Amino acid sequence: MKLRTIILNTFKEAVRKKLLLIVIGFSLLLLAASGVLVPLSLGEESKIIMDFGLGSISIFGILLAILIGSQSVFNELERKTIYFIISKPVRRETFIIGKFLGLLLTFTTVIFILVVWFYVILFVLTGLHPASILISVFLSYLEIVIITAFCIFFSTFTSPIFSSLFTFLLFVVGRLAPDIQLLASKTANPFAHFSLQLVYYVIPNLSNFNVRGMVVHSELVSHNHILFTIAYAFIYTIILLVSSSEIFRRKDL
Amino acid sequence: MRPIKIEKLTKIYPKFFGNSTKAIDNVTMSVEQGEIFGFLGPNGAGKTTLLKMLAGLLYPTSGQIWILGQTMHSFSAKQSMGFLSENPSFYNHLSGFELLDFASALFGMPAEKKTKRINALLQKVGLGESGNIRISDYSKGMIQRLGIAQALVNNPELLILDEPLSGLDPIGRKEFKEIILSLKEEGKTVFFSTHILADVERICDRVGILHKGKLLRIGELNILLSERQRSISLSFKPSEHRKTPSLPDAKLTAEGYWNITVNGEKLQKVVASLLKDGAHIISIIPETVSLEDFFVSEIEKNET
Repeated sequence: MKLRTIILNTFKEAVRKKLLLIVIGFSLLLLAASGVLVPLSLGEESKIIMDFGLGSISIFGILLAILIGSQSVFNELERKTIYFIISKPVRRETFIIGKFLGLLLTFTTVIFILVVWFYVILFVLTGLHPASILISVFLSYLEIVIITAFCIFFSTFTSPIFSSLFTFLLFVVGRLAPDIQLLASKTANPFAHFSLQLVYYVIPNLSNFNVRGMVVHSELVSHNHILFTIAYAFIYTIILLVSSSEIFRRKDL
Repeated sequence: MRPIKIEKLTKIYPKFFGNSTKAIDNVTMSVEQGEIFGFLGPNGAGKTTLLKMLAGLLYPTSGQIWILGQTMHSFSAKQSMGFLSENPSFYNHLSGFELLDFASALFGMPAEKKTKRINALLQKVGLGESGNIRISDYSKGMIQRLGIAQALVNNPELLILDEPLSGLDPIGRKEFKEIILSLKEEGKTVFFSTHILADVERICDRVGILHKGKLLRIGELNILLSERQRSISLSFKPSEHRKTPSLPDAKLTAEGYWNITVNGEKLQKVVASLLKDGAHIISIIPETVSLEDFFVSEIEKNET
């Protein structure tokens, strides 16, 4: 009941933000504008449009998660609205989980709108509506879940600017994880090798969530990969939420 | 069971560089059931720190707090407690009604009871007409009123209010005092901090004075004030055969009377002497010690 109340309040607060409406509006426009790529696609219009559309959904989702996620907890502390909640019989952990799930509810709604719109555009332009798109969107969504959990984690001890910056850097490095491992394997210096390996194992390997190329080229994404990625996202998120709750539980407000 | 019991409470804010700040220094006190307790202190005395610890927002460095017989952060204590922070801030995207609905849900109140209770509270704090307006459009005084309403939403046994009178206009203050007195009549306990001494004087059963984190004084207001030796102003007319009185400290007033200020112990002697000389006593007026005088002198005493 209390958790649901915090989730719904976070959702209401996020959807009433102008920033969210701007990003959604821009995403819808950009997806609609993918039609301009058709003359450049040399007969591969469906692949180009799918690649562009799935990439846009993923990037806008991540952008929203970083921009709104990194402000969410911090704003409660900064504006002191947190006193209203924590002085009542609410566990601090409940607050953190509620904020996280409220943000996810917001992002789920946004992704849903974008996906429906993308299907409409794709069907109008190519006559196709492949279900495999949903696999790519689902894995991108799991990536957004991890990024949101990181935003919450950083927000418990830094300002929104640092939280956004740290999360963005983590996103970039996470996407480059296979390259970091490759670099580590080719580095002779033991210290550099160890450091790169450490970075590889500590940061999430976000390349696991990117199956856009496979979907666009009609390759089958194995069930094992999907299950592994779900478990990977789940474990990472749980670790981040437990750490965030623990930091927040000890925090002087 | 005492609604608030504090033992040897200390709060230190550590600093990475320089000296740490001791905001609360070994405070021991308690608040009795059904009383209105005023917590006084100049700015920076540590009042807000102490109140935030009572509300479970800050952790003490050392010492113990019991709220309604339960240790700090106990759910059952928070279930029966209302808290208003200093300069409160609420969710701008909600209306006043929605905020109270949110607060009720955090107390797990059943839906059927909520609406009636919320509407009654909005009326009680003078926001009956503004319940559906967004908080972003509220004035400071309206936010303060809403803050009081959200602190009352769970019909608490204990109310902890940090500077509840700030931001309220004179009418708002009068209404707030009436609300507080009505809560006392219902047997509730109210603990509030303020620096507006005139308001404390009229509604508080007991007061505590905090300065630089230390509790300087605590007690019933009239007893604390009567501890001060009161001076008495005495006006008289000397007998017709004496042009000037025999009392060297007496001064002639513009009205043509003589006036002398004496303390309580000397009053009997002075009056007896004047009557013996055939003087005519016009008035004997005790000079009352205001809370403000008392407060300032206690702070000054601690400074020196």
